[in-house]
Amino acid sequence: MVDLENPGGGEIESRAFEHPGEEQLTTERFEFHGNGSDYFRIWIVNMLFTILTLGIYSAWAKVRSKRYFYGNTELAGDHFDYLASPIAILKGRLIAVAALLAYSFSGYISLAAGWIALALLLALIPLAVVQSRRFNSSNSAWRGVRFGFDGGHMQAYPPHLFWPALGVATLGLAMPFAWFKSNQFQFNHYRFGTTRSASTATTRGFYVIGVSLVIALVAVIALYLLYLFATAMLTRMIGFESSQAAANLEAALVIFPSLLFAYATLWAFYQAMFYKLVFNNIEIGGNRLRNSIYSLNYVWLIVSNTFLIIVTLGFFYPWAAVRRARYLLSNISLEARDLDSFAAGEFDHASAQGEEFGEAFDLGLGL
Amino acid sequence: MNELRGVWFEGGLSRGSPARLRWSAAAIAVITDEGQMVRVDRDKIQALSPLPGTPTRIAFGGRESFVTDDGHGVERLREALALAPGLASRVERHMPAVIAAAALVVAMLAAIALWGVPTLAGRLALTVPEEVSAQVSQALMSQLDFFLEPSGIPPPRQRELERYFQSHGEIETIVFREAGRFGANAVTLGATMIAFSDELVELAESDEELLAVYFHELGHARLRHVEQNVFRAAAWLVLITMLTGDIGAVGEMLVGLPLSAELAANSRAFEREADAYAVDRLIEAGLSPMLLADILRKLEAHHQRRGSENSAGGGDADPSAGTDSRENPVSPSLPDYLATHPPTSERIAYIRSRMND
Repeated sequence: MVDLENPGGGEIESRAFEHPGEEQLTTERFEFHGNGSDYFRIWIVNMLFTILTLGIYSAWAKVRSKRYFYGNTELAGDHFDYLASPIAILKGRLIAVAALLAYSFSGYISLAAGWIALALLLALIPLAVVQSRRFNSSNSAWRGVRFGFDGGHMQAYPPHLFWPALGVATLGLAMPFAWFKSNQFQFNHYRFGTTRSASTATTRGFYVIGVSLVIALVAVIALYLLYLFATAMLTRMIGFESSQAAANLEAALVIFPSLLFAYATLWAFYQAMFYKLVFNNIEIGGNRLRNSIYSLNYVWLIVSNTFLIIVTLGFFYPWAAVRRARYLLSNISLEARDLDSFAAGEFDHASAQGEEFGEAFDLGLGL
Repeated sequence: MNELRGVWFEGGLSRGSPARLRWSAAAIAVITDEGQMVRVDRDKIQALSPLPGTPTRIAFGGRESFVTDDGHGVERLREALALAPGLASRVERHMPAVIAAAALVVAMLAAIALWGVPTLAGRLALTVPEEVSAQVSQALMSQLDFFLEPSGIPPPRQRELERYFQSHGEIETIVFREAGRFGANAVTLGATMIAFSDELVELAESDEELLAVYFHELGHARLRHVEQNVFRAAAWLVLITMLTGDIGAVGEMLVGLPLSAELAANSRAFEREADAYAVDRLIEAGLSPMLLADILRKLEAHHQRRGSENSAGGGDADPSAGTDSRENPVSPSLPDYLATHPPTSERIAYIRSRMND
């Protein structure tokens, strides 16, 4: 019987890499070698086959996409591998779609059924998070050694249900603490081979993100009020008669683009701050992640990607995804002490169900 | 030459060694540059079809692996192993095939959106049994009841209207509610239930006008518009999940905007169908279709009045508040392409055109 809380079976040695006295740090950069036109080929063929097979191929499509991104990510001369089996993903995907449909129909059965479905969903999220991480990490490898995730199902409830709920109940005041808890749970339980990772991010770091976000949000709202005031003044001054045609035009040219712009900006800003904090505080076997992500650059990247995706009716997506990966990876590096001595653990087998649950409900989990 | 250059990983430790993978009819082996040779079992080789510009990992059933940049070499190895050629990688490699794939994707997505989803939803909606529809109506009504009050219309008057409506076309349930801030309205909650607001009953100058509204709603019910909407939403949900599994939050918003425009266009089409149904039934009952036009006009005026009352606080800055010519009675601030109902003027023009038939 496999011990679910410790699938590797062996002892987790986080101190195996201490070589006192002979400290030699080198900086190893991540590099991304993918390009938009290669990924476009993969992406469009994925779409075609997925439609032709009524969705069945989407599992194979996902594996090909991930293989492309992992295979083109290089660290210290070697590439990453994505090893998941499409069949496992297909099973999970079918279950997730069934669950999604059941959830979306539940509200039509009765009020109670809708609430029960929502409660079930919330109760399942922590389990889905753990399954998803186990599946994704144990199917990721570098130099022939697999990653892993040792977080337990029960351990996932506080960071993914209790603390976020408290965050909502306190109108966001406790939310950065919930982020901190979730970050702890995530990065203190990843493994590369048998070596456990650790996060040194602090609560304070997450509160800085929270406060910055509030300031950014207030700025956006202030801009909106300014716009309302300016247009009101203008209509009054030129005696402009509002009409349906004007409302159509205003919505298409001003309201939607600026809503989208504000949303993309805030989201990118939040993501950049998060990456900056998280990827500066991960340590594994004496090696430390460092990054030089710059929020404004990242915001520009996401906003311009979004704009180009819109004007090309979606066809820019592959280039956008490649640009984002290239920016992020070229700004992350490893302060490496020893990358040759990670030992592989037992093979981990996690079902794909959790992962696809996670994906279908858009938990947006990273690697 | 039946040889691939690459890196050999034993899988025990995170380090690899430069090596060659060689194959012949008789045997397959990996030879490291240091001279170590590992024979591999032909049946256990897993060489996935290569991706453009990406190293390929070849596995041997255990934790060992061999990684190579030589995509063409991997295809030769796959041939030697009698593995079926990867269809995806063959399409990916040829630019004309890629362009054809892109054209096909656009054509198929358009066909799915314009024809596939509506047809499927229409067919499925007809298969929903009445009892299930009734259950759905109950669930929707109990959600609406959070925002509504019990009707203030005297029960005898309610029963009188109900009998009058039912005598012109039967439906299982007709209910009345006080809608408060939602004002005059009527709504179909599935094939078996229609709800009227007190405000609408008060607004109508005759029972015939209410009958015109009833016919419109009966059109929604008979044509199974609510059920169709449920299936359409579900179809889009599955489609978007399958096609855009990992596009992230901004991506989802990008997909969401055209989708809401599509759903609104669909909703306007339903309104037109229900108007046509109502006109047919009014003519059948020997009544004038203009009854529908009259009540639509009153509804529009009613909602405009309420709109300007509601925005009275900020109305100061809007000199045109009283004479606003925005036409949509349900949601006056929405642009046309997101409105759930066609403009009232358009609907009245249609009814007029039917008068001249």
